[in-house]
Amino acid sequence: MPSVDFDLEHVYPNDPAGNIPLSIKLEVGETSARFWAYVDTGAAHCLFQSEYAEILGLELRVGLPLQFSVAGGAIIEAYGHTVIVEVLDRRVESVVYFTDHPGFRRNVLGRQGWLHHFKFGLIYYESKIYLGPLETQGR
Amino acid sequence: MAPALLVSEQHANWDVLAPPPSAIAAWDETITQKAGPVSPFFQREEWSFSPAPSVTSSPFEYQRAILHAGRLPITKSHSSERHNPRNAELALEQIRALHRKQESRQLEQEEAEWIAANRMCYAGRWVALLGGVLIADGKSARVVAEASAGAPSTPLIIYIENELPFAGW
Repeated sequence: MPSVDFDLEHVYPNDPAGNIPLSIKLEVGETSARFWAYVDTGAAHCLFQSEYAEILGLELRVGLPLQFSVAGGAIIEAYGHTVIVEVLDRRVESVVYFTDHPGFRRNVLGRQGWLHHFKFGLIYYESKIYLGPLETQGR
Repeated sequence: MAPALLVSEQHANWDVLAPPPSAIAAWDETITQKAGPVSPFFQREEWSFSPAPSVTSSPFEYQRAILHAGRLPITKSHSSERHNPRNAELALEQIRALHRKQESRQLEQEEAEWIAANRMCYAGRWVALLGGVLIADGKSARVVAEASAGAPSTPLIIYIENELPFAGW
């Protein structure tokens, strides 16, 4: 029977809309911003509100431009910046995207930029997530 | 298999690391019975290496850390290794890290509780929180970030929205 080992179990806050919110801290040099982001395995990248880029002192449109298509069919323009992403005491350096698209209010932790750094497990019924380092895979 | 150290983080008995005073007294008595009185070696002045006050503040605390080190995977189980000062330092670092993590989780939990309790009142506004304390609120993230610039640690800055089911991006 296959089994997967994790080294962290976290009970996330109960969210009325059923999201999986995590406290996330982004760092650029000495500047940091902390906020909530929702784990979204369906999101290709990490996408955050441009307000946090501003708090971090980043110039939004200097970043790597990328268009996102969203569930409603709309196209969102976003810009990638390299930051330190800290979630549950795990720090990784990643390119994450910021958008000033009107109405974008849901920060998401997607696959590239965050999920691809870890093994990730979810027991939705118990509001629990599990994280583990990739290097333990296959041992 | 996950690294044993990280597994131990998850399953560490917190009562051992930060027990109530009565438990400390009982535990110290047990330690003394098992390990003997605190060695004069650990009562020397040079052990004042400025550990976090909440973690260790006495030779007893230090010896407790050393005994704890004996149960951590960074040390060997051989009894002579338990009294290796380097192992004790590593154990203290791990205990401090556990305290920091516990404090972070506590802060995040208080913030989640605040948001759950105040969502309706602050819907449509930006807020800055540190634990269960509202530092600032306003109509823009910039205003809130500026108002909370003097916070002792990075505050949580978020836009409070009326929660509707999220269909994914």
